[in-house]
Amino acid sequence: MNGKAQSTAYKAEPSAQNSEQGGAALTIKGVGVDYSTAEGTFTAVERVDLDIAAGEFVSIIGPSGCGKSTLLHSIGGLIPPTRGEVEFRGEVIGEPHPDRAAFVFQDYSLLPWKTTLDNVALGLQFKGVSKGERRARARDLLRTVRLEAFANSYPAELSGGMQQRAAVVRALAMDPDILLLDEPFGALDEHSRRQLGVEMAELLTTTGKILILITHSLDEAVFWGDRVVVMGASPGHVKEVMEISAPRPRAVDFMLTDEFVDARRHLLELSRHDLDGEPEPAE
Amino acid sequence: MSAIARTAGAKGSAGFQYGLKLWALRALLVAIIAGAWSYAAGPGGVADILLPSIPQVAAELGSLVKDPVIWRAAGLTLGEMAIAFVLGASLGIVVGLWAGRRNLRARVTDPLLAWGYIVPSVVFYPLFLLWFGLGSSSKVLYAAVGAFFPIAFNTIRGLKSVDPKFVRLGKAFGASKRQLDVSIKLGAAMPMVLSGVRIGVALTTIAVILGEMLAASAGLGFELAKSFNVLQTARGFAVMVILMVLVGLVQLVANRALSHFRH
Ligand SMILES: Nc1ncnc2c1ncn2[C@@H]1O[C@H](COP(=O)(O)OP(=O)(O)OP(=O)(O)O)[C@@H](O)[C@H]1O
Ligand SMILES: [Mg+2]
Repeated sequence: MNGKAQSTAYKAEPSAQNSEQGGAALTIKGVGVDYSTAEGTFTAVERVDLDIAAGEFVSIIGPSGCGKSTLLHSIGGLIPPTRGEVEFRGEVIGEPHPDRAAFVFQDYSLLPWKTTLDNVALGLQFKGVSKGERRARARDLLRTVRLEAFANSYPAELSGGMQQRAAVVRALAMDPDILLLDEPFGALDEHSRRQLGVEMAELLTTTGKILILITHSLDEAVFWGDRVVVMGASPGHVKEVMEISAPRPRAVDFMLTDEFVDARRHLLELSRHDLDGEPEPAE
Repeated sequence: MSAIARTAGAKGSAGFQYGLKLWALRALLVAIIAGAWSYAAGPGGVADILLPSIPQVAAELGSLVKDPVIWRAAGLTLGEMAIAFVLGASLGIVVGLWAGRRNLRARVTDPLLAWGYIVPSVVFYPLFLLWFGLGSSSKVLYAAVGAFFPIAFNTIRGLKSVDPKFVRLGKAFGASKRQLDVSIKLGAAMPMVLSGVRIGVALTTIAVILGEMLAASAGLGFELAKSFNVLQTARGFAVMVILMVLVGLVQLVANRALSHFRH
């Protein structure tokens, strides 16, 4: 409740936002997450330090199980970090707050008993926005991803790509400062991925939000990211942070440039270590 | 019924032909049963007192539906069912929601409710007869117990088995504790709750009829038992038919009401 009021407060002051444009808006300070399991504590994320500027797009890649989702959940306040803290504009993120950071989950998590429209309006419903208004807003958002005809359908009646788009606009409905995207294109085939990627590009990148995208696709990571964070496993840590300097938004042609190809090759080499199971060099 | 209608609508004439075939076969099945019955009750067959013929039952049915005693009995039985269900179901849902909201409450009450659900509620009936006598209240309370347990049990189970990803979703999108309970957990538990309610409806009808048959002075169950006790077999068959229609109607109304909920 308290956080809600504060978040509206800083939203009402765009000047404060602008003044911080140069520095880091989102600071991940020595964040580590342990899970307690039947066998004892399990370190999913050892230690991650990262400063992210307003409007920045950060891709995260890494082998399965290296703690990407865990880290993302921590950034959004869903899993309190065991060590360190996450700060947004000087304020520690303690619990989830959709106005600040909204999720697109790895499994979409649309509620099967609600229509697409009401799924998209879920966050607005929790905020107490009236039924008529939130439905009108959800309908507008569905239109931007060409789902207006499916407003009254249930998630089971939608294809994977349609569910994914619904989950994206559900997060956008919160107009958050940070969008946390956990493999949003994961379940899709190559063709749909590319098509959706191009569609989402406009929606996502013209908004000036911080975007953090987890992906298994090196192409996606390089194409989207201002930076690519490469994570390693056992326990989860940041192996390397790679800058991609080409200005965004990027056209599909960017995939043919030397920067793209070189970056992709470098990431491929890094991830080959994971496949070979080579021990990480100790730091 | 509705599934057939939907198939027919969706698939056009092929679906229609399929539906026709289905109903023809159903009619055939009923005809076979009626034929076997007629044969068994026919000349040289079973005595009337054990198995009356179809015309005899039809004649009894014709006079029964003109008899105000039967209408009063049907009204009483139906009323007992309705009150028992409303009582048992509301209590079941309230208790289920109350207990299912907290892990401790759920774990304390769950074994007891499971037990109450497993035990045939007819074992409680003599107690209700002792406390409330032969009248309607003993039937209503016994049947309410029958409705209560599956509904309370299923509500708790439903709330306990909510997929954690939905809870995570609710939290991520800013749900308060209350909103999490109402919009996420209850929504996710709804299929379980509704299946509990369905079972509750069925058990209520069984309990009321059984209660009236075992010890009562009125009601269709009482009429049924009385007819057979005095060897008015044809009348007993006619009451059976009326009860079957009554229970069918109750189920129809219940299904209609429940289908308003999603799942
Ligand atoms: N709730 C939990 N309890 C215990 N261990 C967990 C829990 N969630 C995740 N883990 C463990 O933490 C590690 C990191 O999980 P996480 O889901 O963050 O990986 P990931 O990098 O997102 O993997 P993927 O690419 O397959 O989605 C895994 O080894 C997993 O088994
Ligand atoms: Mg993951």
